[in-house]
Amino acid sequence: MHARPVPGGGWPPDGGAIGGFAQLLEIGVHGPISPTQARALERIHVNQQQAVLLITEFMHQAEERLHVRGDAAQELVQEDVR
Amino acid sequence: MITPVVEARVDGPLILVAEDNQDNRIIAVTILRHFGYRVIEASTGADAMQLARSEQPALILMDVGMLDIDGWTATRTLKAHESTKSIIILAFTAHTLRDDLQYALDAGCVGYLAKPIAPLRLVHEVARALDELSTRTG
Repeated sequence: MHARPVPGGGWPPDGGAIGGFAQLLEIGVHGPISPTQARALERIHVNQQQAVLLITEFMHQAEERLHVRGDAAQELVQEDVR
Repeated sequence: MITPVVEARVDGPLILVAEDNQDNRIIAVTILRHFGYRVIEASTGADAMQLARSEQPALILMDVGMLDIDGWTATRTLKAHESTKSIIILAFTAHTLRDDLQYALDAGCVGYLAKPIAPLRLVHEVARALDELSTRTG
């Protein structure tokens, strides 16, 4: 099955889980949060989404320029990020 | 601020989270336990299949990308055995293929959840899958 991986699915971590952890805090899983903390979490969401878009764009660029697909592109991007 | 819209359960159904990515596993386990589900975890396909047989969970969240035994193979194997064929399986997938849903259905899953995981969506999908089962079985 050939497919394009997306941020949030693999290892090493690529930023996709940040939104999930932020939502757990928003829901109150770890206790109530203040309005100030809620605003900070909103900013985490916005920035996480931008980071994921950036990583996705890197992956697309890697695929196009290096003529690799899927997991190979993701590995190349993750090496660059490190 | 997101408001939970799923009613919390007490001593709810047993869910097996089969996922090799630690972050995704923590998120799934945490949100499910918050809403009252009992949860067991597996980080490999082999462990997932063993736990499915021994613990008989009501539902499995199955990562399709586990390295030892991928989730599609694990699902087909569980669905082929009498003791595990009735377990509901929802696929976790990091892929973005248009035919993912059909692929999941063909393997024996009732549907799939795309990554990255959105905790509330995950709870909704689990609740919906379990409700559909209880409706079917009366």
